[in-house]
Amino acid sequence: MNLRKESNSTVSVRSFFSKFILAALVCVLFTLATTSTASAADYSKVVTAGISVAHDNDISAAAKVYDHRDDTFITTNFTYGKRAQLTMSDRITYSLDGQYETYQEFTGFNNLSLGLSATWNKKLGIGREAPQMFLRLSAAKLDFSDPDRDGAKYEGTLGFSWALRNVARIDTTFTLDSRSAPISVFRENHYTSGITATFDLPRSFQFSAGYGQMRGDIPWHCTGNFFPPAPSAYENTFDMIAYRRVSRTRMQAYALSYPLSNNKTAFVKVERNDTNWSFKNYPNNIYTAGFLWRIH
Amino acid sequence: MKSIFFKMTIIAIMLSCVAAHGAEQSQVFATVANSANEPVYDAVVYLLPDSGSAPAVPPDTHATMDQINKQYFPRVLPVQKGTLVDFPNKDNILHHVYSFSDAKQFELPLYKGSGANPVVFDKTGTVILGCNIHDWMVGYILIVDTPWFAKSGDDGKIRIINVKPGKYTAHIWHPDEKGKKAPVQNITVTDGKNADLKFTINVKQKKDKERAPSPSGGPSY
Repeated sequence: MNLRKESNSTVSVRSFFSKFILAALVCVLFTLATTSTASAADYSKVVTAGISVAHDNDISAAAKVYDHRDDTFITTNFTYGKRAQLTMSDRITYSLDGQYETYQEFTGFNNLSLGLSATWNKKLGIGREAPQMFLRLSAAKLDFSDPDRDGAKYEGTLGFSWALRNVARIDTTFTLDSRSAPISVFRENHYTSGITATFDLPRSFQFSAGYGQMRGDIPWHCTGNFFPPAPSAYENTFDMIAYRRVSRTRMQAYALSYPLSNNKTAFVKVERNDTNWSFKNYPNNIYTAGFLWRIH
Repeated sequence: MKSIFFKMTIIAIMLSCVAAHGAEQSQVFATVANSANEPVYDAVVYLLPDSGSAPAVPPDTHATMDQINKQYFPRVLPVQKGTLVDFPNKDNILHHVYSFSDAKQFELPLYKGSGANPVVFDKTGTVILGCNIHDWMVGYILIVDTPWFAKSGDDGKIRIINVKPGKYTAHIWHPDEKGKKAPVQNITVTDGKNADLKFTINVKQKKDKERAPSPSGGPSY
């Protein structure tokens, strides 16, 4: 049931961005397959996998406390691709990326994501402390247990990174992403800027602290008793009304990792999001623990 | 006449034996340990003659710094000033060797196999090697102005051979040495006799290796 629809101008902007990302990704992969520089480049395999368990204390993104729903979910992911050193300073990585999330209670959120990504990395100098910049494009198909949420996600990230002696590495990113869905309430556009500092600690621990701001669509949920703003629809996962609003979110993330071997890492991560809408602040916390493997 | 000739021949043979025995080179043994008395590997001990003159390196002397499994091998390579060092890449991927050290600044951009030209190290000091593609790769070349040097193995032991008799100052160097440097030691090497040294250095040994994968530590929505 579609209670209200979105405007035509929003639909056209969203459609343009998605098509742009997809076209750029196809161009990159075509270039890799056909140019002499790419064919003469040195390729190495990239294969990684991960598993984590997380708890989100406000998965429903609800304005009212009595509409808050929390849940625990397990995420497994893998990446299979190739990395090519094109020139002394340019490297390109392309991969097939897959991820599966399974939720304990709200199984409508269970989803499989399968897609492609390409990253161009440029080192601006020689040495460990030389700054780097990168551009990453990705497109993925999303398949939810709740078919109202099915769709695709397109993302473009521009990043800049540099090392501060042996103390820390600083990464700054700017991301545009767009999600499609059968019903308009679950179609989202965001732009996010962030900065992360990563520190090497004694005994091989690594700590990172990040801060970001996101502005874009968030599907909020409520149990009714008021007529929500457009676009909105009844949704099955929470048995609530979902409505999409443009909101601003301040995000913090803190992660601690420890290498169990050369190729395996254990980590814990805490995220805090404060979403501002209609002059009120709505926080939610996500706690994650997991493992990462580099298989190749 | 014949008997005089015979006696002189015997004396000449005896003198040559004495001369040969007197010219026998000595060896210097050293052990290197840390403050917890654990053996230290990759420590270099070198002897500088007090007379100030050590034999120069023979021309076209080569040493090798390999790249194997995305690591420099050996991690520490001591060479005499004037040595040519080859940098073969035994991996099936490209490496980009560079150094910013004062003793030698150079680059060997993107190559595989043994295609890179050797580099001559003609200034004493320490050269720290990196790879511009694989940031964790670190190697060290120590350039010394003497032919009498050696590096310790896993057991912390060093053997310097063919040391001419004389007075020397024994120096020790390790890439991971911290704090106050170990003091030099004076040593006198005599004909046919070996000498022993013991060094204790303050070191926390590192193995430079590719770091295990890290989670995305940044905020994400």
